[in-house]
Amino acid sequence: MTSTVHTAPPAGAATAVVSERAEPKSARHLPGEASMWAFVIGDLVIFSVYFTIYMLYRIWNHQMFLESQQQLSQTLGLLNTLLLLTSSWFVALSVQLARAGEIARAARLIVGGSACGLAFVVVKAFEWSDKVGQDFVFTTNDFFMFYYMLTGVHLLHVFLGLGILLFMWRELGTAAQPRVAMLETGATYWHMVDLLWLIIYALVYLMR
Amino acid sequence: MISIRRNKLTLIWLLLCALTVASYLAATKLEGATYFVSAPITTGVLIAALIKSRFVMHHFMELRAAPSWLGGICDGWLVVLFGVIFVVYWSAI
Repeated sequence: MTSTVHTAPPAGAATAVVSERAEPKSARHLPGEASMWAFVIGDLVIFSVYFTIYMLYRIWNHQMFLESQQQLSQTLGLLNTLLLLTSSWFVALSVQLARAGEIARAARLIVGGSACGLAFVVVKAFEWSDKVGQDFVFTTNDFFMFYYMLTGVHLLHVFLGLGILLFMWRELGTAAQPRVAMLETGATYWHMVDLLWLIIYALVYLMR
Repeated sequence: MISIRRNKLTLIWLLLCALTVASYLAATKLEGATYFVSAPITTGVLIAALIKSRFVMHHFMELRAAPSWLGGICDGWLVVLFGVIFVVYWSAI
């Protein structure tokens, strides 16, 4: 197939056929490094196991889960979800602008995305300290065990993501020609952090 | 210069925020101070979460332009995960 493309075309019609066949494939583009996608899919599978176990514990003691869920701050859960969605939006825009060569604007959007990520951490720290202050700790019951475990493992992902955003910002600020693939790889990770939170928010805060 | 206001990503972000606020309102305002088992609220919240997850994957993670095998894996993951969540939930109520 590839050799056909490189061979000098005998006629114009033949070239048209080759490019028609090649176009749909070349239009498809893997955003970022394949290794990051392997990591993302692996992480999604691991979280799926957590979510399934959580659901089983939940149906085994539905009433206790509902009563415990009622102790969470729905407002802070909503705020954190909006913060991560906004952060993801900033980062997605940043990649789009970097591709178009608008490097300074792309860098500013990464700063905005990081600020939202940091605000998420601050809100989460406040929420946890509030719950601990009310004596709702890891050992209180199964719901709070899952609450601290799921949000805690997710928070570790947020910390790693903030580090990756810092690398992306440095790439945009210092490299003569920022590597778009590197930016896409970092953005893929950050969006996964957002994606996982959307599911945690639905399962831990909202469902009844 | 790329416009942020007239950008598909901005529309997606607004839809994601709207679905999030709608889920929050459904879960907090449709019933009284005490939480009860509610299949309609849970179903609505889970469907909103499924739609939001797909939006994030296809538009922010750019799967809509990625090789179709990757989109297939991710869509398959969403179907299996939410399928399991729904089956487990409905098996108990």
